[in-house]
Amino acid sequence: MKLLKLAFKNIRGSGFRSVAIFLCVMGVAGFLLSTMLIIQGSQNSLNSGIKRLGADIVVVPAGAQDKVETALLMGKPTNVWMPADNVAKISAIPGVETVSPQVYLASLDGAACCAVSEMFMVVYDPKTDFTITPWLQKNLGRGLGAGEVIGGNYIFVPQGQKEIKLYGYYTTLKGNLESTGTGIDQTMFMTMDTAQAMAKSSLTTAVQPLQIPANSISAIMVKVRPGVDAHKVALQIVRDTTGMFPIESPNLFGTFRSQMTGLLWGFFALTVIIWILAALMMGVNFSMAVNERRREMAVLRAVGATPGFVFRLVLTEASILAAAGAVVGISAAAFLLFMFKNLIAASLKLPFLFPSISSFLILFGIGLAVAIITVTLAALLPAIRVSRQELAISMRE
Amino acid sequence: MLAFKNVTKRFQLDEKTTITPVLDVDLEIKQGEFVIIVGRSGTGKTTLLNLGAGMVKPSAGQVLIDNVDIGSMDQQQLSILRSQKIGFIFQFPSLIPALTVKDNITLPTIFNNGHGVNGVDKRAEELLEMLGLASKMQVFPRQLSAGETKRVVLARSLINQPQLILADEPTSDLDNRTELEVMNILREINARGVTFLMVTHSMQLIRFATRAFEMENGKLNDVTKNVMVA
Repeated sequence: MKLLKLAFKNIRGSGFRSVAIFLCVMGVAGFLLSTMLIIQGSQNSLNSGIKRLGADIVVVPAGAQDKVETALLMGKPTNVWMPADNVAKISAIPGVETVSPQVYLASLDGAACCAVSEMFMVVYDPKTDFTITPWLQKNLGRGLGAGEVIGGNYIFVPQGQKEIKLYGYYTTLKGNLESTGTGIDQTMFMTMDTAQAMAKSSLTTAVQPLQIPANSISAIMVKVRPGVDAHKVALQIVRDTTGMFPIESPNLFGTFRSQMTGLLWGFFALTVIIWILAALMMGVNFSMAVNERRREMAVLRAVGATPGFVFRLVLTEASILAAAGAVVGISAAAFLLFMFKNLIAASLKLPFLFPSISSFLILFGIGLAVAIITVTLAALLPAIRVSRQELAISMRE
Repeated sequence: MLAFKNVTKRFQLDEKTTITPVLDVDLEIKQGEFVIIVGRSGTGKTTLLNLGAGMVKPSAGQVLIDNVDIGSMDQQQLSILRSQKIGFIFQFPSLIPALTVKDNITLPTIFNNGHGVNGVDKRAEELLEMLGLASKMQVFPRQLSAGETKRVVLARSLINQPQLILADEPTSDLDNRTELEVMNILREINARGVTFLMVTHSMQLIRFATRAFEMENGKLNDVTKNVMVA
C-alpha cells in the first residue's frame, strides 16, 4: 500500500467531507468552464460568421448598420435599401477588387403561406457573388437554379413536405451551410431570379405580397485587392460616397462584440470571485478536516511516516478530490452546454458555436489545472501545519 | 537497547506555570527485557514512553536507543528509527478508521521501505492468525470489539519486526479475561526476544514484567521485588 492508495482509502473513508469538497470543486469548475466555453463559443461564432460572409468590407445604407448587423448576427430579418447604382460607385473606389450586391428580405410572420415564420432571406447576384458561390461550386458543382435555395445550418424542409413554401411559392432546399452559430444559420440564400419569381407568385398566393423595390439593394459585399489596406478603402468609401456606410469585417458586430465582451468578462469576474470564495471555503474545510485528523496523522508519524509523507498525503487527497470534482464538473458542464447550446445561446441572446475538440481539450486542461492548483493551495497551509505538529500533544487531544 | 540518562521533561503551560511530568529519570532497558511502569494517571508514564519513541524531546538528559542519542536526530531520522526499530501501542483507539484491519496492520511497512519485512501480506496474515483475528482481516475498525482492537494494534506494532515495543496502557478498557489474553500474547512475543517497555495504571500487571517501576511525581521507584512470575 503506497501513498496514492492510502489517500484513496482515506477519501473513501471520510465520505461527507470528501463529498462536500468534491461537489464544491465540481460546481465551480463546471461554472468556470461554462463561462470560458460561452466566451470562446461566442468569439468562434462571430469569427465563423465573418468568414462565411467572405467580405473585407460590407457596405450598407447609412444608419442601417445596427439593423444589418443584427440580421446577420441573430437572423432577425431586416428591410434596408439603397440604390443599386451604388455598386458601380463602390467598384470605382481604388483598391476594390470585387463587389457583389445583396438584397435582404423576410418571410411573412405567422402566415399560412410560409413554412417558416419571419425568416431572413438573402438574395445574391450569382455573377459576382463570393459569399455563397464558392460553397455551391464545391458542394453542388454548379450555381442555384430558379426555385432553388440553400439554407443556413438550421434551415430544414418541414416534416412531410419536399419543398419549403414561402409566400405561397415552393422552393427546393439544395443544401445547408456549415454552422456558424450566428444568424446566418437561420438564413436562406437564393438568386434574384428566384426572389423575383417568389414576388410574382406572392401576388396571388400570399396574404401579403413580397415587395422588392426596383433598382434597390440592401448591402454590397466588398473584397479589396491583395495587399491593400481595407481600412484605407473604407475611409475612401466614406469620403467619396454619400448614403452608404462601410463596415470593415474586423469591426463587423463591433457594438455587439463590445457589449458581449463586457457582459462575459463580468460573468467571468463573477466566476473568479466565486472561485476565490470556494477556495477559501475549501481551505476552511481542509483545516477542519485536518484538525479532526490530527491524532490520526500523529499515529501515522508514530508508526514511521515522515513529516513529508504526511504533507504529501494531505495534498494528494486534496488533488484527487480536485481532479475528480473538476473532471466531473467540466464534463457535465460541457455535456449540458453541448446539448442545450441553442437554448442557452437564445436565452443569453448570444451567437454561439461550440469550440473545436482541440480548443475544448485545451479549456478542459486549463479548468483541470486551475482546479487542482486551487484546491492544492487551499490544502497547503493545513498540510504544513499537520505535518509539523507536535506528536505527543496531538495524541493527547 | 533503550536508556534514559537523567531525563527530565518540562512543559511550559503558560508564562507562570511549568509542569515536570518526568524528572531526572535514569533507566536502562536491556534487549529482551519486559519492563512495566505503573502509576496513577498524570504521573508522567505516557510522557516517558513518548520520550522513548522520540515523539517528544527531553528538556534535560539523553534518550539512547542502541547507544544513539535520539535527541540529536531530526524528524526524518526519527521517523526512520521508529519505522525500523520501534513498535508503538497507543492508549487511545489508534487504528485508521478508513482502512481495513489488514491495511491498518500493514500500514507501517509503507514507511519501512520493506526493510526486513519480506512478504508483508503473508506476515500480516500470520500475525492475525497468531492473535486469533484471521477472520477479521477485511473488516473495518468500527466492527471490532475493544479486545480485538487492542490485538490489531499489537499486530500493527509487530509488522516491521521491531526490536522494541512501547506499550501505553495496552489493556485499558478490557475485561479481566481479555486483559489476561493480551498480556499472555505480549509475554509470548517478549519470549521471542522483543524488548517491552509498558506503562499501565494496573498494579496487578507487574507480575508479567521482568522488572517493574512505579512512577510518582515524574520519578521512578523500583518495585521489581513485588514482581511475581505469572
